[in-house]
Amino acid sequence: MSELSESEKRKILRERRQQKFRAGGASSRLNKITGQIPNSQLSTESSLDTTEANEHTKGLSNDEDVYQIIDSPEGNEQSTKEMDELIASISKPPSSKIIPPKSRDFSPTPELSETPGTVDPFSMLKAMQGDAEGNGSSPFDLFKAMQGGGQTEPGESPFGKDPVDEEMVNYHKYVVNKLKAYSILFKWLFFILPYVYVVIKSETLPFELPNWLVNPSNFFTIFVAFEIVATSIYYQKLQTFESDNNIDTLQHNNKIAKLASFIPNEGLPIRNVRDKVFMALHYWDVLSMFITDICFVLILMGVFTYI
Amino acid sequence: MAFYSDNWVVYVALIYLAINKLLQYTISHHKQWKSKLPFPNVRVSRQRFLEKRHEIRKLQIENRLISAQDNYAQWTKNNRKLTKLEKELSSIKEELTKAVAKNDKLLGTLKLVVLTLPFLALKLLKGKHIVYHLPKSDVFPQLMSGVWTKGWLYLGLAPLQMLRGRSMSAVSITEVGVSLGIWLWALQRVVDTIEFLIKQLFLESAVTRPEPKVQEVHEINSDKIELD
Repeated sequence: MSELSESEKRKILRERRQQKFRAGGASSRLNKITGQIPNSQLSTESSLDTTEANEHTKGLSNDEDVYQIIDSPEGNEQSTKEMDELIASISKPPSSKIIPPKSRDFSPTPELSETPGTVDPFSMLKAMQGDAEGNGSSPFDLFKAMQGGGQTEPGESPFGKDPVDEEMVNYHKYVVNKLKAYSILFKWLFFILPYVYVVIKSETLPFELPNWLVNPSNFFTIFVAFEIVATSIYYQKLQTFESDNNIDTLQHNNKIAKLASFIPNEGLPIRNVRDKVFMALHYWDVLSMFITDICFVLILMGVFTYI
Repeated sequence: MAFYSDNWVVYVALIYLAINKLLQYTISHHKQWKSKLPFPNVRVSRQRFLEKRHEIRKLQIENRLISAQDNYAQWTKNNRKLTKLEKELSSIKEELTKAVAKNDKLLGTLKLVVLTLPFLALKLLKGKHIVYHLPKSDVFPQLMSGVWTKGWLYLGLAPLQMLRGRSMSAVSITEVGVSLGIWLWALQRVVDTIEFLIKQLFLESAVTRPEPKVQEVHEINSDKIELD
């Protein structure tokens, strides 16, 4: 292989340099030096002041486990937090004060407003447009027309219903769970447990009870009747909470209901699919509570067999 | 002795249930426990990672102590060394991540082989083992009694039997038993419900009703706005 001449060497070096520039190599190195990217070598903090630096000079930290090492983020977290704060401050709506007018007289020439620093944009606009439109409509008429012809009621947001408050949803979930817990506890402790005991141990009871109550063949009928009454009371209470808090429990707690709410009610081969799905979910909820109580009965019977 | 020899299935099933519940309750500690296991590949990579990181930090501190203007050559040399060390550190971290993922997969397979599959086999092979007989045989309707004794398959086959004209009294009228599969299902459901009750009644912190937000009604009375 012949030796490369000086000019060829320079050419190769020049090409490499240009490739590096194109790939952004040079600017990334410059940014690193000037501290514009995380993990930069240039920092104005004194390492002697930081305690973290002193800890690391002492030795290896053996307490860190492998999952902490793997999950630790690379880069400067602090700059990410600062950026998030900056974005949050920018996204706040700008404050603007509305000054009550003294007169609604829009002259063609822009007028000097009485309060310094305030501007009358509409009159300026009109002045720019001139009187070519003739009478012209007042800007307030235009604004009202933009709101949709008065379809919204006063005080109501013209952009539709406000989203449900998350705090209210959490409170509603808490209340519904508490209701469910108390109703299960009441059913299990004050009906199922004593009734199963009475049916199983009817011969050993010190007192006498009516035969229709302790007859095992009537157990299931009485059990189902009680379940119907208890479930009705539970659902009535649930509806009261839902109307007080203005939240539909099923749509906020159930994932299937949330997905089903996206299904349109019309336009599909089966009509009212969404409503049917909600009804099925309601029935499943009732059935699930019934099945749980049946399971408790089975376990209790097993326990009483061995006692 | 016959009692214990007949019911070993029940005791084994209860042990499996207990282990599963224990694993469920301690799920937040699993990563901590796994990291303490003495896997050689992870131990070596972790040691190398910590050493390399210590080297990088030492060099970073040294570099910050010297002035870039006065000792530019040394400063640049340190920067180059740091860049090289950082690349090595990220490759060690990748190695460590792969080693940890491999070990996690191994532990998952171990759990499957030691816990999940045997429990499943027990339920399939001994699912019809009668755990106890109901004290009274006429407590439940015939369909339900059949399910308790024969399992869920009875429910699936019942319509077929009805179509064939066979009666559903496949179970003995004198004794209705609860099979292992049904008993385990019922027990798991009851345990889950008790967990829910304990959580809601004793462990859950109270949530106060939020105050209703007063909606401000903005009316536009003027077309003048104050500039910021």
